[in-house]
Amino acid sequence: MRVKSHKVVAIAAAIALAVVGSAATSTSANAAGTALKGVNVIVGSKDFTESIVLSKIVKQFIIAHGGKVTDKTNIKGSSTTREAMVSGDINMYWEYTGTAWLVYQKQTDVNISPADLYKKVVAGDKKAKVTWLPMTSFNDTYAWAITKANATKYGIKTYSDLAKKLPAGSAWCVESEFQSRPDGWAGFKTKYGITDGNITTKVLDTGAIYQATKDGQCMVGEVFATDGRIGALGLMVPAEDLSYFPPYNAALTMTDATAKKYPQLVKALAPIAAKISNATMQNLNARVDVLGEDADTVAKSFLTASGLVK
Amino acid sequence: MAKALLKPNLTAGSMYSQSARLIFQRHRSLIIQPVLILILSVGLAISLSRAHLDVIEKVTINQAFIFRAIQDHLILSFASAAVILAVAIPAGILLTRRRYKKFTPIVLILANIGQAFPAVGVLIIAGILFGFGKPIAIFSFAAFGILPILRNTIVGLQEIDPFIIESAMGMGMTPKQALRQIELPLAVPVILAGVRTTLILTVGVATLGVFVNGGGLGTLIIPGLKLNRELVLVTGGMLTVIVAFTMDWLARAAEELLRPRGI
Amino acid sequence: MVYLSLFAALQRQGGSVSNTTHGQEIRLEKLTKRYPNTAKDAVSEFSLVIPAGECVVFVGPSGCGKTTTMKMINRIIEPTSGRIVIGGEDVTKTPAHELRRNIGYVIQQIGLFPHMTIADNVATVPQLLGWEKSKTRARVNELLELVGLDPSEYGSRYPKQLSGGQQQRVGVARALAADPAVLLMDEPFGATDPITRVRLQKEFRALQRELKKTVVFVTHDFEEALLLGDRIAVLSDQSKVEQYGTPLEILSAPATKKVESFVGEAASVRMLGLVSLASVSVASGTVDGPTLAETATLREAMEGFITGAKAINIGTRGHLTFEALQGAISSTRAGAK
Repeated sequence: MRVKSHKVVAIAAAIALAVVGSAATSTSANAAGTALKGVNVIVGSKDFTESIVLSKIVKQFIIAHGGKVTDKTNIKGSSTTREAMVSGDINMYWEYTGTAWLVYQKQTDVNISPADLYKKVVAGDKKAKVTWLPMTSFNDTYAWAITKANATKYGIKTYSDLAKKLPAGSAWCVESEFQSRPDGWAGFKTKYGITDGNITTKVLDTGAIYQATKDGQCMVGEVFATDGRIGALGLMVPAEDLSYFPPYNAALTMTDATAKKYPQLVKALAPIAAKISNATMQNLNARVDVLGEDADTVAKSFLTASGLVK
Repeated sequence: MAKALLKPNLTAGSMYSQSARLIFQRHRSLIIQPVLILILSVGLAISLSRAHLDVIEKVTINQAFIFRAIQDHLILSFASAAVILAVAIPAGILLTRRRYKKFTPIVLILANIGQAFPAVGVLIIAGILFGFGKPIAIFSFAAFGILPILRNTIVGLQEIDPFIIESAMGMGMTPKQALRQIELPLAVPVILAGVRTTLILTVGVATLGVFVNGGGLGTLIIPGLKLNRELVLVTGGMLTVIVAFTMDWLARAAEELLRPRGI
Repeated sequence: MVYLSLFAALQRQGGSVSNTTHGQEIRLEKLTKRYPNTAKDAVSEFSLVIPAGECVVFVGPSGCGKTTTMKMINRIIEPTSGRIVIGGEDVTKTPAHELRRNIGYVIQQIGLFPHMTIADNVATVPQLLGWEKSKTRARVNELLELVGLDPSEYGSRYPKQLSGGQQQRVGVARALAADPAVLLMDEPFGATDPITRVRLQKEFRALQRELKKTVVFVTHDFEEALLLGDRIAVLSDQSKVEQYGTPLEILSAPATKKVESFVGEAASVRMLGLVSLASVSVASGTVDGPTLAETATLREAMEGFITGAKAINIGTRGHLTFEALQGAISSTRAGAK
């Protein structure tokens, strides 16, 4: 009898251990999957790939952690997206420090370091009741692209080279919004001493500019620094020797109301920005723009690869 | 029924003998429309000149930029309408001739496809292939707008009582004479209605010129939209409407002038 | 509607219409029409001679091909085979539009050009032939008056302002404008009301007597054929000629059963309407009783007797007895055979 009861105890202990152990595991797994349970938000974005990918990352993160997301990404125009958030149509989207500084806060001084600019922007937006989460390290500034071949041909290393060394009448391609922005075309021409008589300006859709620059319909194209197509199409971006463009670091913005309603969300999302470097962003952009992958898929794979979602 | 006011003119070409006063009475609405257009334009100009503009708005809201945009828009609209007319009307005539009737279904399908394309996508692909600028914009817009005139030309000609045409042949007209003297004049009202529709359509579509270096009023609408400057957006929109109204008026005036009497 | 009687109009012009081209002979030789993908010919080897200056009526049931045959003469429908000879000239292969400018064409649906004035409509063929404007203008006025429409009132109107009967008159005027030798008419009075139709028929008959064009007239109405035709061709399926003869011949001696059934009943009585009293012998002197004009027909005389007359005066020539009428009738029948 004694042998039998030992066996029973052993078996019972083993079973108990197994049950407790599995319970513990499942709790920790559930803990990760339910951290954002009860969160129900609308995520928006601007209408270009980078903005969409960043917002999809946030969306997939929230969903993976048990929250609910309404996807309203791909809204046309910077200001329109901002308006959508302020009016409540969406709860959050990724904004750029430079854009907020110049376009919403109507400032003009651009000679500020990225970190300082961030602090000023956050302070300035308190009045607008907008919360800024931590910013990324990458700077998606406006940039000029030229084919590697032409860069070699004309000895282009800086933006000043672009202004001085290209043949007369060269075509500079810009998008219509860039023409109207205070950090845009007119100011750049003034800073670098480019006169309209020396060049040809063409106004194209943003997406068309990359291909048109590669094909030669544009000598210089207005692009975004972290766009994946720059590398993929054999283009290069010279150095900005005279600082004109302000920093454009990205950060998730949301209304103060949303931040107050879901403090756990603010905390959970904070670490995301730090994980996205210049190279990472370019890579993610390229997967969508060049390889044609779906943005949600790319977002999910980033989250897994970076360990943000287990 | 109009009564002959003048002594009966028994030679051919009695279409145009009308007194000026009668013209005014019958075409009152045609006189009022341009007056309204003028009032709208002047009103817009005055409110723009009085408005306080910020840095972004000043880029587009100025006389030079606006005039250039309107000029480009008119060029795009008229040019694409001209291309459409040059292609669709002869095509419509050809397709109603006995020999080519069988091609009608396939041509109409092609024209329909032109309307179904996502306009911006096609425009940009065309620009990449053939070069950005006004020419490719004009030809793309023409492709989008070809269906109404083509269809109206065909219907206008098909609708004609076949016995009228048989009479014409029986009198001894050659097919070409019957086409010129009988068929086309009778189809003119329907064709012109198609022209009017097309002109309005091209005015609307021409706003896409901004994406392919074609200029036009889209150069106000898109930045206004993207940078959330309502004044710029509304200005662009209103100017497009004013241009469209003007086209409508011109087309209706043409319809009145060219409509043969008696039908 | 003001209506000028045709004779009044003619009298005002002092007689006949100026410079009328009289008709030419039409020979149709084995005209055939076969439409693609059909089992049999629509018109099969139609041969006929239409004497110059005569009005020949094609009569037959619907679908017999009479209109198709007529439309082959001016090649609105091109013959599959056969020959058309007009005035001794083979026109089977001449350019169609040239041929048609010399043939007047009137169709049942009228087909006036709605966007042109009445005057311009009538002036169509002269314009095509390049006539001088003043000559055209004069001719248009002349013709409008001829068909009973006042040029100063109707010339500048448009077709839709005219009634059906008026439009058809314009159609006839238009066909006559260039003074063709040949006239083709396809049920031209079919689209009008019966009263207008009778009037138009009588006017046309009088007009034709003056103008003496060669007319090919298509109708399905046998009465109309009797009234208007110098000769009648009774047609059956595929435009087969059942009988070709004068109205009297067809009424008195129908050649086939088909003609008989087409002619219908009481042929003998209707025949009486074709013969005038001018040729009937009378007894001298007038008597108590009704009087009929010389141009009245045997039929009217018969009516007189049926309604109780004992004798009928013929103009001032004399009086007709019933026996004399009977004699006239039997000699007419004998003569017709």
